[in-house]
Amino acid sequence: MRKLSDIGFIGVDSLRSRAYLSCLRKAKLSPSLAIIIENSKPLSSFDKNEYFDVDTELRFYFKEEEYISLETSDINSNLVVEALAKTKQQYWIYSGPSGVIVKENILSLGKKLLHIHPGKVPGYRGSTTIYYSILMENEIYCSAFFLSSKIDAGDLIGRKEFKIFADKDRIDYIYDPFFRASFLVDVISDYEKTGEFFIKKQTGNPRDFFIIHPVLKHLAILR
Amino acid sequence: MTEYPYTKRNLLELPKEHYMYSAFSGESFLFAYSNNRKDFIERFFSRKYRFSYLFTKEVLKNSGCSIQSEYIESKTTNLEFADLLLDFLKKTKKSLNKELFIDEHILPLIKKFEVTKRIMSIEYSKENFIVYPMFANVLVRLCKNKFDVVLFNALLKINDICVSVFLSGQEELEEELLLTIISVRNELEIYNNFKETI
Repeated sequence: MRKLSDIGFIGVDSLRSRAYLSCLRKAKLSPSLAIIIENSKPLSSFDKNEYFDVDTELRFYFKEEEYISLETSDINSNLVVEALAKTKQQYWIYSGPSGVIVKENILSLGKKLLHIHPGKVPGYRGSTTIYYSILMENEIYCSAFFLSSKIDAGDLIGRKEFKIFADKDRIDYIYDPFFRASFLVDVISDYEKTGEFFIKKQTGNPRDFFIIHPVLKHLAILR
Repeated sequence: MTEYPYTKRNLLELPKEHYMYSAFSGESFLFAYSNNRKDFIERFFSRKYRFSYLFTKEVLKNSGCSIQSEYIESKTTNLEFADLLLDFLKKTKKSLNKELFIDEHILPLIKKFEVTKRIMSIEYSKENFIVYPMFANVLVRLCKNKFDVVLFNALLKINDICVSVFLSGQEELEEELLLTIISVRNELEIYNNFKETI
């Protein structure tokens, strides 16, 4: 296992977080510190799948001294700011709650929060873009970038296209977290080899999307 | 049998419908959606409607819809938003640069709606409800000019709200019902056309 001394993990215990840590472990990579925002609700149980481990709780991926658990459900709380400010890690794999915007009090700490977004930015920013992208272009992309104050507009690390599987009804609970995790492993592996993230500004026409209506979601899945 | 669940309660009442992680129910869901809209139109289409807003007159003029209706008088309104939407409706025909018009005027309203699930910042009342079917008809006009998935997504949600209000028993809102029938008919037409292209 290669411990990533300059990279931490911050997020909630969600399916996506479990996919991230499971796939990183398969690639023998491990963040050196975790800051976990404890959800008020326990994570639902999910069916096992062939791509990542859904059962292992996040704390079991870390030694006790590498795991900071915060009793808040708010990623922007002062508890998070204080905990993050004390750390030496410059880069943080971000897996926060869906639909929550990270605020300036976190972003201004000077840490870089790495987010994997299931859409090809800047054309597919916002929510449920994986479905819009299938619907409009019959393709799936993930983008890696550092969070900024504007939604999905931060400095771009890279983008990757993924093959669309026939069973698209498994997107929410399997393919979305797995594709993101898979691309995260690529991005972190590249960083490990080169010692840096090669970033560039997003170029092209930006477009914001909002939670997809079930009718359009069905059309995307049945496409 | 698969049901269309998004009009079964009045969506202007809490909790707000966010559509997050909506379940997949197969092709039968799309039939259920289509039937929901057709049943709504069938239930209310044969009445005779009276209306007062110039907005509604403008919509009817271009709707190609044979619904029975009668213009009563020009209503002076304290709903500034209704006047703004009438202006938008006219601009959808005249605007040379529709994309700029959408970016500057329509998308900010959609963003506000998508975040708050309300069109006006004030809470629902019978007096201001008409802005929902009015805005739906502005979106219909724009989507019929050129299909836009973000606009159509918002149209589906606004029409869910409108249909849910009438299925919950607010049938006395005559002009609002008339506008909703027209926007729902057009929504179905846009949906069917789009479905054929994918």
